[in-house]
Amino acid sequence: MKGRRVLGFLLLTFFLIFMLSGCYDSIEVDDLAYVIAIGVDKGTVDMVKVTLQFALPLAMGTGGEGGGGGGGGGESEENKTVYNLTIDAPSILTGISMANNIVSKQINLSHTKIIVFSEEMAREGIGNYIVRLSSMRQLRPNTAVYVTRSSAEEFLKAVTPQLSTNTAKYYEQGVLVHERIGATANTQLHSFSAASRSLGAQPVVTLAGINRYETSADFKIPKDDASMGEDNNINHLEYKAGEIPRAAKNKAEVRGLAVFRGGKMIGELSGLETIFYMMVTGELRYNNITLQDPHDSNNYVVLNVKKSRNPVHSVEIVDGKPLIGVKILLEADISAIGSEMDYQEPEKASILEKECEKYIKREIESLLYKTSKEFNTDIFGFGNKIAGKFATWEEWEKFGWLQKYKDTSFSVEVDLVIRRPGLTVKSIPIISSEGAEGK
Amino acid sequence: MKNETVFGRWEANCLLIILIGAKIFLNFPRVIEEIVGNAGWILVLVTTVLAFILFYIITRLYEPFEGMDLIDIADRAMGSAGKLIVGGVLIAYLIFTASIMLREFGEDMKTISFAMSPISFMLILFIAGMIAAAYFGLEPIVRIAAILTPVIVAGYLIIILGVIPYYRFNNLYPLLGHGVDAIAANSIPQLSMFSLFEMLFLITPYIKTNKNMKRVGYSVLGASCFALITSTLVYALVYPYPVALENFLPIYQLARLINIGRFFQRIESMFVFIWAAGALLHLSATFYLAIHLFAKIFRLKYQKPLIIPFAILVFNISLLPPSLMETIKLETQFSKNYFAFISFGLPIMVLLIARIRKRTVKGAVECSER
Repeated sequence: MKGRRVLGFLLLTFFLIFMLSGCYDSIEVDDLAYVIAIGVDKGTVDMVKVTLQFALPLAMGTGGEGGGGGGGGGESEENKTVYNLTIDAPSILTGISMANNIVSKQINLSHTKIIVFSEEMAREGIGNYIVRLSSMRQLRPNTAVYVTRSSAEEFLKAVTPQLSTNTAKYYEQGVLVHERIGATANTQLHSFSAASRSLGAQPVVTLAGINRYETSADFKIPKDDASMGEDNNINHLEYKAGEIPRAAKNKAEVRGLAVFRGGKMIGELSGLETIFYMMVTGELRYNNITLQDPHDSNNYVVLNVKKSRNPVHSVEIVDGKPLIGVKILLEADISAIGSEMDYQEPEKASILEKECEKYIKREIESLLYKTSKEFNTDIFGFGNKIAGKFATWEEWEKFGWLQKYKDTSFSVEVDLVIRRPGLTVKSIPIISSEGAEGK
Repeated sequence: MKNETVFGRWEANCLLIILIGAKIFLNFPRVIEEIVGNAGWILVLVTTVLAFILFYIITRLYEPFEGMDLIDIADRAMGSAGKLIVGGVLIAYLIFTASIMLREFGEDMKTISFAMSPISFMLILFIAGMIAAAYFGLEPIVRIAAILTPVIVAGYLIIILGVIPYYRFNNLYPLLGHGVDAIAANSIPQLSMFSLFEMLFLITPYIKTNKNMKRVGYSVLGASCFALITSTLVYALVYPYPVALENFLPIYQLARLINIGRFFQRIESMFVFIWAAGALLHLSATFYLAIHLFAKIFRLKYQKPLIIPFAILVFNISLLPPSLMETIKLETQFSKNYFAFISFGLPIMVLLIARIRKRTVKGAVECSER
């Protein structure tokens, strides 16, 4: 009996030797080439041009040669912590397979942070590409999706992080930009894949671009969509990605949204419009809104606006046409007052509240009608709310919301309360030999 | 043969929850959406109410048969032929379930983690565990189930809570999915979602009293209802219809979405653990019960010699479907057509015949232990 047990133990140990040494799928981490970004352009000799950006782990650890440090300069430089490979192929997956003929290591997509499509591709339709990519085992469903106003290949080359030696971390942090500034949204493979096949919503994608300025002397207002002085605010510099007046080594930037109808891109939203988009969808965390001072047209007031509660969307069908009510509930802190007015005082704060409400209401209405009349695409997902008016899927399908969106009327209500005056409770004027200024 | 194995209500609960709930980790939430659209959770709710009613009827019918299992009752009601028929149906059902689930678990494991490994390699890993479990017997299986079920439930809760940022309550509209007709028409066939609940009527001798059986039955139905509803509801909240119909493994897809900060992500690695643990327990229990039933029907003194032949049988049957798609199709067809009957219809039928024939005798507990 004892002998049999010993034999059994030895057999088990022998078996475990094979079990613990790995199985068919075992592969050393060092044998893998990690793709951290994928760029997709229209192909030159084939269907698509795929750019794979590989992480160079050793270079990332040491900061590359000249990759890190510095900043503030004009000329872009090569990112030494990554290796870019561009290949023309009939499809993205074939391109990745073909790239395996070039790199010695096995290509792995499990650490891919962003997928960038060129605007040219996006306007022709990228729905099918994203749907297929989102079902890939290695790619994560929350991989960020960008549309770049330049070519995707050039965009990935332009990425030269200055404050981080780790490009993958740079992408990860960049994806969270919307949480800090709200001028772009969190757009992922999962969200695009769901919205592009929905009967009640349509997708948007973060807009990326390569900055056009080399030095600060080149700065100018983008002539196509910026205007100042039309009304009492100075937020009308509606920069989109690539237009921000700045000079820095890293030329890549994100701002605004690419608007889609189904799988095709049909327009763009500026950074400012994106902030209002986020207010309507309830995704805005906080943002600085700059208003012209109601009492002094030469000065401005900066309010730090936060979401107070989730926006309330109400839906009615009047004479077969949808009427959508949007109620935005915000609170704000005073960040800066350019003049010497005591907006910290409750009576004067209410003037500021009314002014800000009026401004936000006007901008949101303008955005809503732009999406319905100009774009004819429900990027806010109002349709999903309207679906609640129907009992069954068949009735909802028959209603055809996406076709009716262009006939929608909107009613916007903004409720903003200034909660805190910042660190001051009173504005004391600057005094000179000519007396007090601004009073 | 004197039955000396006894276990408590907690162990019985854990065993049955694993047997019923394992399908959540396969394709259950998607299959339900295929039937009634985004109103899957309503269908589960309606079906659970039906299951409670049927179980109440069963408990009333069971009253004179305290401590007896279904096979003993069939024996009393219809003699050896009845015992053979009822036992044969249950053995075929258990072998079919074990084989199909073995193939599905193996194939799914291959898909999500072991892409390069041959399917036979994956199946052998599970079969080895099933053989070991059957060798050690029912008691170790239920004891391990009692330890692992809370871990599996905790893992499941982490997944459904981790995707809260992705919940979109508007996804539940239109509220009735494909309509009341679809829900009503499918509520009885979909009682199959509680398939293997009937194993409660095979382990009654181990939990001794009817009171225990009732308590275990109701609590298992309640816990299973919670698990089945939350899985369909959360899946519908995250994946809107009809995109929800695409995903091969719904709960795995949910786990892949979890991304709370830069630290708390890639939770699916935990999913693979709870998946493998749940799968092994489920397969071990069904495999053991098939062998146990066979030995009981044919009054075999020893059941261990049956383990290897049954393992070979299950392994070979599991490889019969040419592809995973065929396996899923086969399971869905059988499940829809027969499982509801086997889970609730068969026990009610056997108990009714037994009651009509009024062949209840004193000392039923002793008979069941024979």
